[in-house]
Amino acid sequence: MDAQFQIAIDEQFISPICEFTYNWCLNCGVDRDDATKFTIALSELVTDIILFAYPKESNAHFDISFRHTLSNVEIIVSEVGEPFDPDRHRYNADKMKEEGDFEGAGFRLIRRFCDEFVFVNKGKEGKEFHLSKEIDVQSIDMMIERSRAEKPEEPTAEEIEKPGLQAENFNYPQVTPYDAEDIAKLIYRTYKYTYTKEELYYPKKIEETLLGKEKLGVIARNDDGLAVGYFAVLKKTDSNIAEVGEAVVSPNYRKRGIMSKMMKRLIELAREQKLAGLYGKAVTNHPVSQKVNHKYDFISTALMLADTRNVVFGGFDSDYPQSVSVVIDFLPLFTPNKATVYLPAKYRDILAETFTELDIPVEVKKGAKFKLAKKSDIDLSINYSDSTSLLVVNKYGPDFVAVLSDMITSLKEQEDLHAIFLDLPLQNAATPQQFNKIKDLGFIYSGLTPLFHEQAHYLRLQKIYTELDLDLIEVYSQFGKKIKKLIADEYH
Amino acid sequence: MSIIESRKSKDTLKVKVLNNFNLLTRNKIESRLTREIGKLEIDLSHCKLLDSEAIIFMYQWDKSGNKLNLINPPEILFEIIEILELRDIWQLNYTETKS
Repeated sequence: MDAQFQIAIDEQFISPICEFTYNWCLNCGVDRDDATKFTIALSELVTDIILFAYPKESNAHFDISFRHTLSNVEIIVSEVGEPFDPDRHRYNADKMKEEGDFEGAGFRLIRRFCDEFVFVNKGKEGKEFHLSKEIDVQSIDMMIERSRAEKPEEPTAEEIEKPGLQAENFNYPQVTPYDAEDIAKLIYRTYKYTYTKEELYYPKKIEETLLGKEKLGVIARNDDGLAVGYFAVLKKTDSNIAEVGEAVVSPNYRKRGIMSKMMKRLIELAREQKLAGLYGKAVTNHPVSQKVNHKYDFISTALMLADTRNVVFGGFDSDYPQSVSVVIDFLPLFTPNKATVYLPAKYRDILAETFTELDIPVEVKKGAKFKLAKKSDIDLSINYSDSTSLLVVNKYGPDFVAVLSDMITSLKEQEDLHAIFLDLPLQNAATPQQFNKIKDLGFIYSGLTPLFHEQAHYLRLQKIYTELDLDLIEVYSQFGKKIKKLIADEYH
Repeated sequence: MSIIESRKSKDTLKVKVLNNFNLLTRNKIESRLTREIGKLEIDLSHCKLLDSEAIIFMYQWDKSGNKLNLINPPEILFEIIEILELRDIWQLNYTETKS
């Protein structure tokens, strides 16, 4: 989260919030035209809330949150005003021409000026509007061409390749902002334009994340300084763990153990930085990433079906006919304090077994008393490019099932989602009972997400909307296969 | 900070929008429109952002028998007019003074 504001229902705040939004967009790398349009979209939404959401309250407030990734900006506006559905207020140009009725004009502009506009009805807990815009990556070609033009011709990797060199002959320093350009070049040489993380083509963006300490990485160089490999973890913003996110070895330097050396060094660095654990989302259309994780004692804890679109990996099979499922492999870096967990009976055995596999100490309690919160608190994030959504339950209120159902319904009505994932807090005594209440919502098991939010353990469930052939999902580890079998039994 | 500067002269109100043209700006302009005003000149030279509240206000003013002239409207205004399908039914009077 970049920023969060609570705004009074007062038109005088429209301009200040627009000024902030416009400048924030520019800082995130959005170009001026798109920043203008995205800000106008927010202006429309805020105006609508001010005019219509609270007709009888003058002291009401609403919330605006700003968050960005390297390739996307997103604004989430939440309010608990009168029930409202933007789909029932569509702009009708004929009606406007005949009757001068502009109803829905603002929402038409919002839809045109955002890449994604999602309305989430949370029932009694109000409404959320998600506005998102991709950061333009069309200039990659131009940037790389310019970068080449400005620099003297470099020797190709083949020209300076030294076939005799093995992993131990390379250096593995921690990545610094100065390595940004070499990383971008390495990604380009290896994947051309097929690498999924577009931001890795931008030296400036890599530099920003390294300066911001969001990323912890290792770069492999030969004695001449040529970068031949890069491996990084991305720190999670809501917990002290990091995702093994970016890995590349130049094709001419593969099969020499460089990836393994980098992983080993990365684990050392993560321990030095007191990260509680590392996790990887390893694709299942081929087992290579899972094998590497397994070699370094990662434990498979969950299988997320249809988690990502089918991406073409350099050197790997491109004819995979369905969305790619991923295995969550987790490596605790320290033994966490013993936590008390409340496991739903249906998954008690597999969850307890997963904790044992991970060597994470827990005390399993049954039938504990609990008190519900006044209101349910569920965080929602949408991955627009992968067509998935993650709901994280922070608190259960008396209306939990209704709120969750409303959120799922409104999400599904607007987005062509492949999967919705739901994280339930295992250290909350209400979870077993609330789990039983949502059994009709169509969620099946995904697995354990240890230490995933605020250093606490979660049960991940999944609801799948796309057809999958589970035989095409390759799971490498024995324990991962056990999780897959349980999921397969529920999926069919 | 002021939102607009305005000056009345007989039946004309000249308004300079100093920042964004939104609901607040619209309400400010409306509050200065007295009965004798029939011509409205809006200088948008310093306006970066304008939303549908601005467009609807100007359209309704223009279509209710009054006169409207805009100075240096930003490009986004024309895009909004296009999106709201107003182009064919609204002949907008405007003057470009920027080179």
